[in-house]
Amino acid sequence: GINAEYGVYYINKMSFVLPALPFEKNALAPFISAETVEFHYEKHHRGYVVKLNELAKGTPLETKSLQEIVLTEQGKAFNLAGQIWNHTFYWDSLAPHKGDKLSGKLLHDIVASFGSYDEFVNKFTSAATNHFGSGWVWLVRSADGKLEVVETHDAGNPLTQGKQPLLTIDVWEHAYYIDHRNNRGAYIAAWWNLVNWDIVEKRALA
Amino acid sequence: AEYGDLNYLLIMFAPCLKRWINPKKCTRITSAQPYLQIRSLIKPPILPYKYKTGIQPVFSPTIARQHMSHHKRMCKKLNNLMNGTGFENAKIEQILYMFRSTDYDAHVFNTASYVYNHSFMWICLTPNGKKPSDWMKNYIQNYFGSMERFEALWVSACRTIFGSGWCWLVLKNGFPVIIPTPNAGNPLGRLNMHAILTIDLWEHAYMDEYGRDRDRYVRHWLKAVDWDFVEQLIKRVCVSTRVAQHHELNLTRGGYEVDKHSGIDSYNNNPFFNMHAHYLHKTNEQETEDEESDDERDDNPDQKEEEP
Repeated sequence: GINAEYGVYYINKMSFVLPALPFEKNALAPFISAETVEFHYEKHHRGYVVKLNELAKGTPLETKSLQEIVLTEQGKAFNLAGQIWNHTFYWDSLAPHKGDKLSGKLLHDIVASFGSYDEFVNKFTSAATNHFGSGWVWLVRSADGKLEVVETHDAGNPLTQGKQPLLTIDVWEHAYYIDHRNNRGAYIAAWWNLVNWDIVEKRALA
Repeated sequence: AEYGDLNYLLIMFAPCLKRWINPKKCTRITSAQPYLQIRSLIKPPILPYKYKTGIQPVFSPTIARQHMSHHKRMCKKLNNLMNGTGFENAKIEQILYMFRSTDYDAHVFNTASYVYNHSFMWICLTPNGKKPSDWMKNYIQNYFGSMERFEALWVSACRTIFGSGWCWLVLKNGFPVIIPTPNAGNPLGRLNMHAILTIDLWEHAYMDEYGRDRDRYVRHWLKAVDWDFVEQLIKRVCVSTRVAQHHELNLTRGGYEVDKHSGIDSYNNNPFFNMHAHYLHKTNEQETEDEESDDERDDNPDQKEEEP
């Protein structure tokens, strides 16, 4: 089924709230610097929340959850809500580097869908490196149960395609420009060190 | 190579030989196309200003240099991609035109577009900009009402792009139109479209200095525009596509608000455009009849239009 909603707190008219980071801002260093996390979270993620609250004030959007807006709206509301949802998903998919490897059912599914774990890593990395412009790259479970690597543009989300997201990487330039300038490949290589496989497995079992 | 070796002589005097070998006997572009190519390799444009000190007020020296170094890297990448294909000696515009539609060549198109779009932006800008001449001001007033309105339209067009993209001012059939394009789009290769101005709305252009504040970046960018270049480009496009400068004819009638024949009407009724007039079945009397009925309607705006 579809995952639980992110970043939705019902306060009176349900203003959208920026969820807390699941780690300290410097916890991802040296792979993603504290400066990037600070900028990405405070300026971008918070900025989207503020803008969506402004946009939703006094409109029927207020009564909708983020996921509803992503699935039903288009245009500015979709972009803002999508970005909030995607960023929350992104932060939750990261964890300070532990060095643990993937195991269990998820690994079995990955091998079944991609052939091998390395094959999956290559596919995901090349999709992320070659994606042109802003967007996100996802590991999703499609309706037939198979795992896929999917790219979306700008604020796109695979929920709109009926797929269940398990893992994501942000390939907007703001995610890596401070640390790596134009070198998206270096950012992706560093990002692999930070993937929170525990939570990805939980999502896969849901 | 040591002193006295033949290799040493070659290395020392090779730069002199270049002039003998180079068939064009020059390394600077002399053609009408604005500075986008030297010989057969794609390179960043030779700019009529020093970019290393920055392009005030929009790009600081660090940003300008960084941006230019990315540009050079992409030029190298494009040259490597073109090596071995038939396009080593092609102009960038040709590359863009050929690779714009096929799917597997999207990578080439994106790289070429990156290069072209950035080149075009560099030559549109100049430190602190160049003030528009009277001709240019009249032109903008004629089509946009005023310079302030043009700037407002430009800023709002730039706002419509979410994510990466470019915003262009193009001449479409001789009329200036503001067109925002996502990702790597550019108006090249489309009939009747000639680019005049462009702004880079990718995050790498404004993130360092303006953070998320893209509006402020666009407003600063507007202050750095080289309006003399824009004027020359408009005049050149008008001449090359044999479009008469109808806006000048309109201007003699007294300006924007008076001229009710501006826009698509002037295209049809302008004698310079009516080269095909003898194929139409409209006579001179009919034309004046139409004009008279227009005047009547303007005098009595409440009067209902009579249907023929």
